[in-house]
Amino acid sequence: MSIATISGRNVDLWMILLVLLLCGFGVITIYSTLQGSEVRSDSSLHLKQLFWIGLGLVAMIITAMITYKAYYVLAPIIYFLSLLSLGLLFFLGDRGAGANRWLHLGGFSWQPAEMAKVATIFMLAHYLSERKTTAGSIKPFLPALGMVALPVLLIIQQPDLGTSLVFVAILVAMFYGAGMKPVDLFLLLSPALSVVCAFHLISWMIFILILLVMLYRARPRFLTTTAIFLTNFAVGIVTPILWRGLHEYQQKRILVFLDPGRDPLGAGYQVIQSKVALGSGGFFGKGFLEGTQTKLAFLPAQHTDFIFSAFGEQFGFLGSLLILLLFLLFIIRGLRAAQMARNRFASLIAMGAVAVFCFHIFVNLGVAMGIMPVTGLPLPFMSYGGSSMITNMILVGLLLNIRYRWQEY
Amino acid sequence: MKSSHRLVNRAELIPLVVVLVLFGVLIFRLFFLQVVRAQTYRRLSEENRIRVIPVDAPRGHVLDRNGNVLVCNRPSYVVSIVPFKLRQMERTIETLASFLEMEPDRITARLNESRQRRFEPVKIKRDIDFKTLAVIQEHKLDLPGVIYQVEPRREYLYGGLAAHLLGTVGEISFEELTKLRSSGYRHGSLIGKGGLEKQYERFLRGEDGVQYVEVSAVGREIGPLPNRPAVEAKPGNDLILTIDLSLQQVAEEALSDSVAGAIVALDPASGEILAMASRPAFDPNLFSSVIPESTWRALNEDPRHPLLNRAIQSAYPPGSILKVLTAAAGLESGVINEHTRFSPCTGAYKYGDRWFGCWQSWGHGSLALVQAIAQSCDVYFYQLGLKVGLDRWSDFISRCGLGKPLGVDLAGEAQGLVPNRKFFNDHYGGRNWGPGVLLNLVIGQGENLATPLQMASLMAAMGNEGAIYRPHLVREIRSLTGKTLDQKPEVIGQLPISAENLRIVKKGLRAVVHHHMGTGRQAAVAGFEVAGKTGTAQNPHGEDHAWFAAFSPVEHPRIAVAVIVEQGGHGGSVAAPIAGRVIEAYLRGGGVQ
Repeated sequence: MSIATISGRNVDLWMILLVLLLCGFGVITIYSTLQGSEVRSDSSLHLKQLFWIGLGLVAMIITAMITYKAYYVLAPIIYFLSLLSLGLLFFLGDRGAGANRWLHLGGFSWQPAEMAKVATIFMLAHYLSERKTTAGSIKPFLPALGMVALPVLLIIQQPDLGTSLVFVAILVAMFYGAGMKPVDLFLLLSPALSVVCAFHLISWMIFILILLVMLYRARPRFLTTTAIFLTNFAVGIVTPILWRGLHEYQQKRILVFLDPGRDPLGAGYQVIQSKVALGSGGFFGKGFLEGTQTKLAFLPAQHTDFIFSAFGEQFGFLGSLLILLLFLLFIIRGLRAAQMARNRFASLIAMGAVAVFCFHIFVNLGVAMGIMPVTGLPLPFMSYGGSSMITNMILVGLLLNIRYRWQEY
Repeated sequence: MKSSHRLVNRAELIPLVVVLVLFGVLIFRLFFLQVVRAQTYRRLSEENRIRVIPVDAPRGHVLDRNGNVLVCNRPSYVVSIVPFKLRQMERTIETLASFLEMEPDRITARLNESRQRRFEPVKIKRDIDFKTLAVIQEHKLDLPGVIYQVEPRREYLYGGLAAHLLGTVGEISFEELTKLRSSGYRHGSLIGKGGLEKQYERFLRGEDGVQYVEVSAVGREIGPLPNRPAVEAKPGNDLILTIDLSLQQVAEEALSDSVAGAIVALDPASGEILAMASRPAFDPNLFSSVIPESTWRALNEDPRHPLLNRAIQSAYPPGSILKVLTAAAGLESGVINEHTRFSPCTGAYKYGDRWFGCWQSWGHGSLALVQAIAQSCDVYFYQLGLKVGLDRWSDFISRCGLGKPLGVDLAGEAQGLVPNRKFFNDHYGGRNWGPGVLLNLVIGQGENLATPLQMASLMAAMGNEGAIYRPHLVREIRSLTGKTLDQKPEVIGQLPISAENLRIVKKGLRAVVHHHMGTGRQAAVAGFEVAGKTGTAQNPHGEDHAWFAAFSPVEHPRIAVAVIVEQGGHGGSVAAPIAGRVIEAYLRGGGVQ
């Protein structure tokens, strides 16, 4: 009943409904943030958002209609073009406001990093679907690692840590979808984990213990085992030494980059106000347009990164729970698309798209609730913004596409 | 549909479990915030406001090499407005403006500049006197939203002493703020605007702290926010300079206020700058609070350019000081030796169909190299220069480190100029200049340019077996935790002169001061040997500039000095005595290590 049939095929109406509901709640919340605040000059953002949603729906339909076999053929070209536009940022980027994320070309402005997500998903799916990766060997995955590393390196320069980490989520999900064992995934990413854990002796020792257990369980060849272990060991020892070699102000710059909450006048302030907004909403919420945090402009970026807090203040735990459930259902529908697809390429694309959504949802909500460092990632479908709306709709279009053609090989 | 049995597959179950766990965490946290802690947060949001009050970090102090404090902070009052509490805006602003003797528009402008945080005080006027403060206190009821705070104000204890190198601080400009907002600056932050204050900004600045205060609905402060301790302001690092306060004072007094000029004194063995004075000077304290527009304009538009640090930012023809290098070029290229004599000086030298005069119009007669340096005979050097030739000469001078900045730790260092064939071709065209330019160049006139710092550094290198150190002003950066950053002496070059030839040139430099015919006799210091060279730079706009550059003692020198007095006339009679006083003060004072 959830799947309508068009000319003998299946359209996931449930997914479309979920997306529209979330978009609708987004518009309502954006409208509420415009009331009573004296600071904002643009009072028609909710109408603009409706325009973006419309544009997004068009993008979604177009993406859904083209057979994904075309994407398979075009994947390398799309990937190359997106790398090129990321590279162009170094020369043409808008350097205002410190961050260098926007590209302006002929009246158009967009964030190449958004397109890079889709392009990298295509490229990874294209590559991984060709390879026999079920034999348990890590080797075929190594070039794929490079395909993710390229856009990540370009984006981390901007600097945009949040968006860079989205690619790690894509990598994990798609490698897993391509048949890599969780143990191998852990081993593959272990040097990065080692860097993070190396800042504290105990956490690092626990990490090394886990690593040893994983190595024992996976039992790769002796040479590989030694290489992995030595790499992790060396990284763990070198990191604190390098760190201490840095001057205080350099350390601080890195710490604020990783966790802007350390700057108490900037992001730290945002998190407090976000928690107060959510918490003061209570069980039933203060009611639509009654949010004092929102109205008095205590809450920063309330129509973009902190939109969930503005919603939660007005609609309370019940409303927030509803949003979470809508997102959860949406993700489950996405996973279902990945599982049903009989074509390996399509299934991998679905995994990548779901990973992007999961990461954005979890990190954005985690920030709003004060359990994650402030990263500046928008909440899919709800946050104001054209670039991310269109990217998200394209990803939805891909999921619909795959569901629609699930029987195709 | 086969999906139901497919879900049993373990590989497809794991992603689902991961997603469910993540959402479980979020729902759990949401429950904690919106149900468990709802009362606390509701209280914070409805009955109270949280106000974030930034606490300015005191800037680091600046000390001389012996630990004398040169720059510190003192408490001062600043009047601010909390926009959120401002009522009857126009009337309040007008009243406040009359008390503060400001234009009401200025206050409105300042408020508009920082519209972002309506609960943060916006500084309106800094460093107000106690009387004004008392008046504002009396009229508190007419001034809702107006508050006063205490903030550290930059204090330059010796007024205009070393003003050019210490620099100034001022309120961050709009352009600076857009660039630096992410580094913790905010509207109204103080920032180094010039000199060391700017160069070492990131060390001096410290880290602003913050207080979280609960404020009742009517705006009364209730007290610190529970569970959210204040973040202490971290004071900036102290700078320990290479400057010697007592020597700096001597240098400042040696240049009278009515002249324009500069003095630089270096420690030859390390490149540490012992004193650096520039005239005319200004009082950096004027900048520390909001500087009145009129004062700023007067300083900035003064035709004598008091804000210019002449020791490093002005380049002049080095005059006869450069003969030292012409002599060295001759020795190194082998065209002369210590005893070479040319046609005797008759007061002028004919080259082509033009006469080139010697400064001594009645002539020096026949001189060997040491006496030619001591008496600064132009005719000797014309002939020497012609033997060396333009290309060899300009190449040699460039290799001595002139014509490029020395890399002192101050912004705006002029690089000077060593003209070469390419320079003349570019500037005058290949045919419009003749070999005659060389005669002017080798005696340090013409297009040559050098800063006083370059001349002091040249003397330091001469006295120091040819080693050129990077001149610097900061010896040590000391944080409160005792972590320090030492500036190690750094050799940046070596004079291309052999030890033997250096000895010959130094003989000449010594004779400048100690021979009874020397041009720099007035730089003599009883009990110490001084080696130096006078210079008189021709100035097309007026009187000649007087130069003197020296080092002392001749063996193992402890100080190198350069003095320039703009439009002072003869180097020997005007600049040399000043250099002598500086050297004497330092060597007699023991010349602290």
